[in-house]
Amino acid sequence: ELDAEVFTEALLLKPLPDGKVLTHFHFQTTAPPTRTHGRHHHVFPKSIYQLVHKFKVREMELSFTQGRWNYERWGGYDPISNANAKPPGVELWAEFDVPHSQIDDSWKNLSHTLSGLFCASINFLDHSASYSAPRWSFPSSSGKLRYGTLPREAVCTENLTPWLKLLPCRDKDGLSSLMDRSAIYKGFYHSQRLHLKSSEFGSHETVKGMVLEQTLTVVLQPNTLPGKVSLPSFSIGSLFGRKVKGKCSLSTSSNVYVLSEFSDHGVLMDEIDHETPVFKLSSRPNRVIRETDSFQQVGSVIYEYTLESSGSEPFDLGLQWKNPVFWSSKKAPFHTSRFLTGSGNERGAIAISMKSNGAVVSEPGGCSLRVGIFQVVPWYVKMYYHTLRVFIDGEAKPFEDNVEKVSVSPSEDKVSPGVMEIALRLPCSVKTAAMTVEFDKGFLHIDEYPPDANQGFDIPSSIVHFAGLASKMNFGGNFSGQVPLLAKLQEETPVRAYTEVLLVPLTTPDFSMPYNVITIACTVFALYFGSLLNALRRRAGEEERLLREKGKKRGLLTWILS
Amino acid sequence: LWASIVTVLCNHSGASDSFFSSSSATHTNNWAVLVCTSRFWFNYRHMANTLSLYRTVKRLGIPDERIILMLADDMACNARNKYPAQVFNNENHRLNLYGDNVEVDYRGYEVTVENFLRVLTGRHETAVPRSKRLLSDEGSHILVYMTGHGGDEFLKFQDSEELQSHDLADAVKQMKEKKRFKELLIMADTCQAATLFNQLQSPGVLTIGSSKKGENSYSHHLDPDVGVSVVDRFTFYTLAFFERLNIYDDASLGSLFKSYNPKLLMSTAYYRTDLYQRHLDEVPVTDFFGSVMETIATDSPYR
Repeated sequence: ELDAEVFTEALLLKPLPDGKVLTHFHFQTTAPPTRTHGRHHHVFPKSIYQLVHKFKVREMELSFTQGRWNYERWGGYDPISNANAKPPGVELWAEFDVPHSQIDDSWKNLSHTLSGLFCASINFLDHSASYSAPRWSFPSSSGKLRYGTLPREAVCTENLTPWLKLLPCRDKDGLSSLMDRSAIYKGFYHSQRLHLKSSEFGSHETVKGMVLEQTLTVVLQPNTLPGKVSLPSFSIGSLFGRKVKGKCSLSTSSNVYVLSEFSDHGVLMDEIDHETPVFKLSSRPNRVIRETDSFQQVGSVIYEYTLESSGSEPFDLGLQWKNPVFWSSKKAPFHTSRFLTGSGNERGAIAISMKSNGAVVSEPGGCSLRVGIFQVVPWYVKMYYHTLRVFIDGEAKPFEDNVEKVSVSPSEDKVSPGVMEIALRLPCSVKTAAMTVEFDKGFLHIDEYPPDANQGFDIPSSIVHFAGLASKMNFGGNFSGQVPLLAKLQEETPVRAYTEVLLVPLTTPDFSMPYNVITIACTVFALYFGSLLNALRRRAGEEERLLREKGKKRGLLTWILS
Repeated sequence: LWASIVTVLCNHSGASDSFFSSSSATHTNNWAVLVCTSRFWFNYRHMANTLSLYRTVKRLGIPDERIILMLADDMACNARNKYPAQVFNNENHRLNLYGDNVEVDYRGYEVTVENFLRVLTGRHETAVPRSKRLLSDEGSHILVYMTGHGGDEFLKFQDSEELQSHDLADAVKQMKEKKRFKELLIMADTCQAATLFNQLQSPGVLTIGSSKKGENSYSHHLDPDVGVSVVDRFTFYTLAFFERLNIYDDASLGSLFKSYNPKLLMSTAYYRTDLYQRHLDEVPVTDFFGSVMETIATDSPYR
């Protein structure tokens, strides 16, 4: 269908219920297949093209995140949070179009290339103990997908710099010129994500050629006026310290959207509505798109602003609250959290707890919710999967009642991590559910400890996905296809949540031991040799004899001289 | 007989000449390897030292592709940093060293003695990408800058391992054998820095350390806002020298080395020139700290 490269950019602003603002940058570059278009591109980044061809990547997602997505306040059941709430650190998964025997080698080489491309230590994922092959937690079940994550990886300007270099206008023009580094890294949550799909080496249902989607999601706190307002007004200029200069001349569409989750109580500048306005936007939008889902009580409204080319005055958009309204974002059926239990340096247990958010209505025929959990645990935390216990509403239940299927790959010391994929079937009326597994702490070789070993070791986030549930927005009409961001919002996104990263303190040796050993050994030797020499050479009473002789000698001299 | 003795003597002196001349290749490119070996928040100043040099070297012309930057910890986006994505080397906060376009090649746990020596000698595994390799050749001038905690003939890496002067000398010797540099300038800002170069013997190497054996190198000042010392004295005065320069200046290395005042540094900046043939006053600083190419305009595109 497409015979030319297309680049589009969009920015979405969404006020969150707790006064913060979600800003979501979305850049998409598509390239037609090499067979028809050839190898030379003017918009699609060359480094990504070469990466796809060298490693025969079919689909890949790489995200750099800092901060924790607050599912309770910011929502967990909408396309934006389901696609952009990511675990802290680096997460990489990739699917390849190569035979099964070459997948691991392709993964290793890909991790090294990405570490050079994005200035991060992704090369640490090349060791077999740091990545895993999930079987059914991801949409693809070909067995050619590999998943790895580095929870402790720092994310800073050096990761954003090469990511921006993949865009045709870099950070000089268009929406990417808004990205003031100190504003982004001051946010409560920031996540930059790169999603790549290609059909170059195999057929793909949704894609012809290559599609590169880059998103940056930042949750910012607008500056509060003195007087502590619970819902502060904001504008693009106040959030980023800059205004949009104009659109990137290489982009086919460049838009700014404001998404309000409650039904249309917002008011535009010159209109007077018969209801009291909740907020006011500083300029009139080019288009208003309403969500047409009649089942929901509140529908979202999107206000679209189209950017003109550079040269005209800079674009700024402000939202001013007139009458504060309190709403809550749609949440996933369960609020999941994960924590460690037990104390001491020998053993403990990991518990995953799910609390119902009251969103699911139980039907008379008996309904059940399917919850899938994917958990990877490093080899030095040795899990005993036979101690897996499921608790429904506080009572321990037999395994067979609630566990639909389980796939466990126990860890092998220094070779592979412990992977557990479990599908639970819970009744809709359940209030709380929990799952516990016990573990023993292992020992590392002295060389394997990182330089800051006393901080502890991380167990990466586990992924909780709700099978059969997908979030999407329905706009009705002809909004799809033109703007990729809107198309993404209308796509069915599987509902998933990431739990917390766990910090496990392991027994660490005393790293000053070699120094202590040398000091003690040398002291012992010194004492031994000192006493030995003393015993061999010293005569008893020798000192008194010497003194007497000296005294005698003097007596003789004085007698001669006198 | 006398003629043959004379020719033998002349040949011998000719051989010693070629021993000292670095190579017959012309100087074509400049590289920089900047290493910060300390981790933890209280070593902020070592990161600021390295980033100050990074900024100087970039400003004077060396592009990111020819800089290998190794930072052992993340200070800019550290949770303790009151100014996210900003690193300062002065309490007046005038300069944000981190900037908008920083590229760090080796980060965090990757900064190890092994990786440093691999970078210098070029012996990497096949999967290592080009941006992490020192792709220098026999026409390269390389600046190696190391900062952190050190002592008599060693430099400490991340509180868990050490680089000894023997290791460094061996790596430089390998580089010389493989013709990986024409001239090499090694700077170290640590305690007893000059001892790190005691074992070097390869020609074409110029070294300067911030202090001699038995002396400590001190930090310059404490920033009460950030909460830690933000720069070391040696690097502070090096920067003071470079901030006055731009890409067109021809200040010499000799003037740089003479600008260090032992009273202000509270240590003696000691440099070794016995392995270096050129006279320091004739070497412009942009031979190592910048990248100034001689351009010749031609009328026709092809010759």
